Amino acid sequence: MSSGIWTLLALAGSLGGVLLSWKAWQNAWQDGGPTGRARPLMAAAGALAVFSLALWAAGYGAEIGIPLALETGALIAFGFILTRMEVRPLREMRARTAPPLPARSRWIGAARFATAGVLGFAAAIGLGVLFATRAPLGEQTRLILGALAVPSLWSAAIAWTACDRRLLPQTLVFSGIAAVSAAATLATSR
Amino acid sequence: MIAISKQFTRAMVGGHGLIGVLFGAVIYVLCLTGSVLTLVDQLTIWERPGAPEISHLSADDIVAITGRALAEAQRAGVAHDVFVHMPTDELPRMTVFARDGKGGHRDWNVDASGRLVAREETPWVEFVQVLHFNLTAPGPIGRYVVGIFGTILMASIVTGLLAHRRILRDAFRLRWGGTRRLANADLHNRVGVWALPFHLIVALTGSVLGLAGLITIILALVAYKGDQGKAIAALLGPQASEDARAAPPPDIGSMLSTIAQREPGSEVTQIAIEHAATMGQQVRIAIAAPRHLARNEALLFSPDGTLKWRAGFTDGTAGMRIFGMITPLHYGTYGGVVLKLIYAALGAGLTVIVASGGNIWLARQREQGRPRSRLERLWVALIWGQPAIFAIIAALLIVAPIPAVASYWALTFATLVLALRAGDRAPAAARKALGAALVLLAVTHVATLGISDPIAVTIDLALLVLGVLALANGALGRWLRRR
Repeated sequence: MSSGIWTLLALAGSLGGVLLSWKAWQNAWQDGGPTGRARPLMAAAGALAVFSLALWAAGYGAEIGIPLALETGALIAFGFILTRMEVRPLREMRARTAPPLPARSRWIGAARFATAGVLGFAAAIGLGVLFATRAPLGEQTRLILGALAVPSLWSAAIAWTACDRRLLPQTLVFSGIAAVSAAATLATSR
Repeated sequence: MIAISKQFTRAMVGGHGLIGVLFGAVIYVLCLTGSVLTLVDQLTIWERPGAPEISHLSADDIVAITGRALAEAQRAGVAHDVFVHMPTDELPRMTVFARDGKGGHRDWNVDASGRLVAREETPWVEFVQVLHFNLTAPGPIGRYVVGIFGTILMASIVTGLLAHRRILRDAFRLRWGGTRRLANADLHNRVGVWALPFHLIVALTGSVLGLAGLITIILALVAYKGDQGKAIAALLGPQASEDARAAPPPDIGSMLSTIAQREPGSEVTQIAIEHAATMGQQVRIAIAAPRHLARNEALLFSPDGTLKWRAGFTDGTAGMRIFGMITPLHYGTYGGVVLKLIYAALGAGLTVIVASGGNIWLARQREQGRPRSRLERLWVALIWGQPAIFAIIAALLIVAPIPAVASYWALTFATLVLALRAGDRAPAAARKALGAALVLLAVTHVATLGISDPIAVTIDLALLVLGVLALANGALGRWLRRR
């Protein structure tokens, strides 16, 4: 079968999945939750999504087909949502005045920055290097997975520091991870 | 069902907002330039529609052109490394890039008869690349900074997802109009949630691409006793040696024969002669791998044509296969023009998320009685001003060789100052400026370079439509509300 036919079938599958999800969503929120009529529709939507994914993978190979399924699915869903956009008259906000918030300490801001940026990075690179050098995998796989782990772990550290008003737990955890991972890497490399 | 406490959501919203306020402007520029660069091949054709084209090369053609490229690079004194990029279906242009190892370089186009001719420069595309890859900072620092912003973008995506209490309840709801905050929040959340896998992939791969050099340095220090070459060789294969004694050119014909035997039917996409015409030289040849996400397989040859190493991007270790996927996943180069258009649309979606995120924060400040008027104007100047500046620079570069990076910073500074002076007129003025800049660019392009290539014409039409939409933004909104 030509790739054009695979593509059309897979696109139809994605669209069907989105439409069934929408019907399930409508029923679920009319019923007050994902119960009753929504469940079989959600199951059918899931089955269509998997079917569409399988078609993309069959047409283009799994490596290319899976990302293609996710990307086209996202576009189809958003395109569908755009067709159902509710347009409302503009509503101006009432002018309000509130007292200014108390000024935040710049030192706390700088400490937060240092915790997320420096200690978070030290912890992430520590774990990444430990994995890259000591994980029981082939050299190239260790290196690549270790390199991918660094930004993932660092972003988690940034997220935690940005969301938690406290700084002590993050400081202790990041310093501890950095120290322990560096010690483990050095100890096992001798 | 897992109950998420309001306190947790508040913390996530706070953290998400903090990241956005501190870093949103740079993330916006990176997302905007990244979306533009998904169409780099098409924009290269658009910028220089008259550049020489070449298609279907036989092995003999490749051998002859590579030999000419090496000789030309030697004459120009830049033959330390010579790269020959083959034409593709999307960009039927063949280019040669050569560098002297001390920072100097030259490049050429190859015409239909296989001769090297002066390269048709694409300064606008290169400017957008410099902005996206380095934020115009010199050396590797800019690249690391871009990698750090990729990491921050990932943190922002995660906190944004965790902050979303009504992820299912609002999954299909998009309201336009009403209060400014509600309209922006719906847009922000719908695009953010439905395209989440794309956003995470692009942020992670961008972060790895930016930070790769820094991670390699640290890894080399720890795991390879400071030997960066050894760390790089683990992934990129043996490096050319430093033996600079003169040597005859490498036997490219023999290498292509080996490839034809080992990988029948495969197309060569790039030839790189490293430390060319020295005793230490070696040749890296990339061949197309159409059904693989990596898109290419890399083979490394000794000058006599002996195969030294094969990367294994398509059939090697899990690590090498993942390594081969990182760049195509980031730029969407694994599925032809249609996928590039999908990437451009999803990238534009990510850019809209960043812009609407700033709008939500500013509207909330206003609702709470603490309007940030100056910040509102600066944000408007950035959101609408940056694409307008890109269009103005492109129009200027079509007619005169201006310094693109200096012009960009000067215009950015000017738009910020103008926005502060424009007061409440800033949003409408900024949208009109963008519309006018896009129309001006399309008209300048057609007037100067004519109507020739269908891709260039399509891009000009798209610019014109987008420009008119930006100019008619207010009327369009009123029309939509009347319906």
